[in-house]
Amino acid sequence: MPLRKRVTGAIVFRRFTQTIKDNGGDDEAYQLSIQAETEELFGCSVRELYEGTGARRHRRDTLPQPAQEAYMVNESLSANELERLEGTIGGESQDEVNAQITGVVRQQAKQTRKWLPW
Amino acid sequence: MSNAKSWEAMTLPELKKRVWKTWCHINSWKGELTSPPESYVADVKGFGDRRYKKTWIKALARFEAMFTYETCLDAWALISISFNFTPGHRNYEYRHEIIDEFLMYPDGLEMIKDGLEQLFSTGFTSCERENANGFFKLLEERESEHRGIGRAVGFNRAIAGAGAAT
Repeated sequence: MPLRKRVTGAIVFRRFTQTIKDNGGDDEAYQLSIQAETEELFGCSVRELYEGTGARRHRRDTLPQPAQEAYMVNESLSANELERLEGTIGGESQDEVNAQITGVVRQQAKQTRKWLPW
Repeated sequence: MSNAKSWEAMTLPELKKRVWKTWCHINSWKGELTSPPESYVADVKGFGDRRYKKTWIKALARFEAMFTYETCLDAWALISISFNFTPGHRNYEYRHEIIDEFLMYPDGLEMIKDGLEQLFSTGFTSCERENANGFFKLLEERESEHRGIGRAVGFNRAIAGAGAAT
């Protein structure tokens, strides 16, 4: 039996960040992606999400369950799409690569948002 | 060792471009600017005379720290992604200035501590922890330069010219 782990939001998030990296994205691409998915999924910034839900800042496991699930679903689907696109994302500069990656995440988040109850 | 490649100092035009870009990141909503360009000019002027590079370095450090602070979803990612400064990092040259600015946030140090705690608690592989090497190297540098990482650092550095060492 292969060794498998129960999938958590943290595991999904790590796969998501790995796919950003594998597509040539740097730390800025990661930050822009977080910004984009939060805006699209929740209609607010990361700071506002933490403040508005009374969660402990920068600990996503203290966010309300629906919010954690929304991130998890979106990051899983975005990672699938970024994996599919691997090798096709390119540009003349790091900025262009980052913009393309962020665009993929934002598009996915717009789709994911349609299935969320809020 | 592969990280030991040399880095090139940023030219003033490059620096200005980066300051503008980072300012745009913190002043946009869903990809659209939310502040007029005049605000940008005023914001940069707030750091000093725009003919000097040091003014732009201050602006970059403040804006980058702000962007990192505002978009921080998981504290561990601060250590292994945002502040994992290696010579290839776009902000390597100004890493200390950025950390200094980040530490000016009342909970900045707390966030870094939380990040380290998360990274070294459960579920992280040694490979992922290695991603934090850039951050640890930065700590070493600060240690050797007596900069530390406490909140007082920003203050000490700000009055360094006055020779007010502890």
